[in-house]
Amino acid sequence: MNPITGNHIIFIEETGSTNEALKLEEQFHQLPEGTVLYTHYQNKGKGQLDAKWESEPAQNLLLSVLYAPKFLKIEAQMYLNLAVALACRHFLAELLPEQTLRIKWPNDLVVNGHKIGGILIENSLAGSQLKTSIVGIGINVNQLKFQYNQAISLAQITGKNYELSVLRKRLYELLDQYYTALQLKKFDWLKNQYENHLLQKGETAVFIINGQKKKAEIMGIGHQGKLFLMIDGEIFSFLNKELVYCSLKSGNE
Amino acid sequence: MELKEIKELIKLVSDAGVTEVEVERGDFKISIKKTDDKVTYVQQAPMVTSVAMTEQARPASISAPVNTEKLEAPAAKTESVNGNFITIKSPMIGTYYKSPSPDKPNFVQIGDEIKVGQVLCIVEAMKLFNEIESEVSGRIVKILVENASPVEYDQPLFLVEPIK
Repeated sequence: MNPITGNHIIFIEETGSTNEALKLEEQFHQLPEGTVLYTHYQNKGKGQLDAKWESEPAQNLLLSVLYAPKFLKIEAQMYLNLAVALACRHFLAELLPEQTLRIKWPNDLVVNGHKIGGILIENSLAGSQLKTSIVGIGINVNQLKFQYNQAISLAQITGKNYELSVLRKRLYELLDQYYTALQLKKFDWLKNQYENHLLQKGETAVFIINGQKKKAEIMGIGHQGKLFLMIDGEIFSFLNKELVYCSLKSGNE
Repeated sequence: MELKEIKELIKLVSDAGVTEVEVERGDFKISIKKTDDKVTYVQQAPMVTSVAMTEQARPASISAPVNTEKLEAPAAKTESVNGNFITIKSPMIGTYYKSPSPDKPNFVQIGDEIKVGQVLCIVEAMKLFNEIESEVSGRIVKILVENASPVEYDQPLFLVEPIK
């Protein structure tokens, strides 16, 4: 596949959220697949619907990419999530060779008990046809202070200062690589890779399910993206709204 | 709203196999609910007449229904009426959201006219937020799921009355 990610780039100094800004651009302009919109400062960064993404100006990677994975059936769309999470994990693992980079289900990037990045994907569907996907990525790079003490940046770990434009370029290459795997429908490979890097896979973790604290073993993910947990010898599957995942740290780390 | 119109609405509910209909016209609101084989309707009178005419400030929401009555209607025959409404179903497993975020207005409400391509709701799985667009035009008659609740593949989300 020819590279597509970052062939067309839009820069906005400051925006509410890069996903929203890219959606708006897409309404008024014909944008090629792979268009990237990035910003220096996101004043209403979107976490999961209402959670906020905390970011200081021009310190971090804050971008959204437009994809049109029309080849992907709706029931297979979770593989887009896996591909993006794996690309971001790969990107961070290259920069942090001495650390273990994990994906916390469903798609947070964690290192040593701290969150270093997050992903938020918004698709538009007509009936059962996927039209466009807006892939929002936030990665903490040079920021040295966070109010939220579970957050961490590359600079905090390595003591280095990073050139954001160089990092962006590499991230685009990796997104292309994993997007190609998606186009080639290497679903089992993506799922295996994802589970290999899944935080606390095979370990017992603490969750809040229906308001109750429960210990459960993380078994893996299903084809619909649900998390499989073993609770008292029985396997259950959960959507991410159906549980609260308490821990950020693996028992072995 | 005239009695004739209300009767027609009640007939619509009992014939249509739906369990609840709300109609809002200006400051007049009527909701008809079906419990088993009974049809109940609650009519809210216009605000002007229901708010007490005193000098004391009162929250407007106190406007109690002035007229509550139970009417009996025959049990609905579901199969005969499904043809009149279109059911919009979830294309996927996930969590249903009625608005883009908690502080924003709902994508659609009961009684809204919708067009092809209009966003109706979000279904989220694994933090993939899917905006579900309508493939039909019509009027929303009923919303069949609660906000932030899980939905299954093919689960009905909306009942839509087609507009020609």
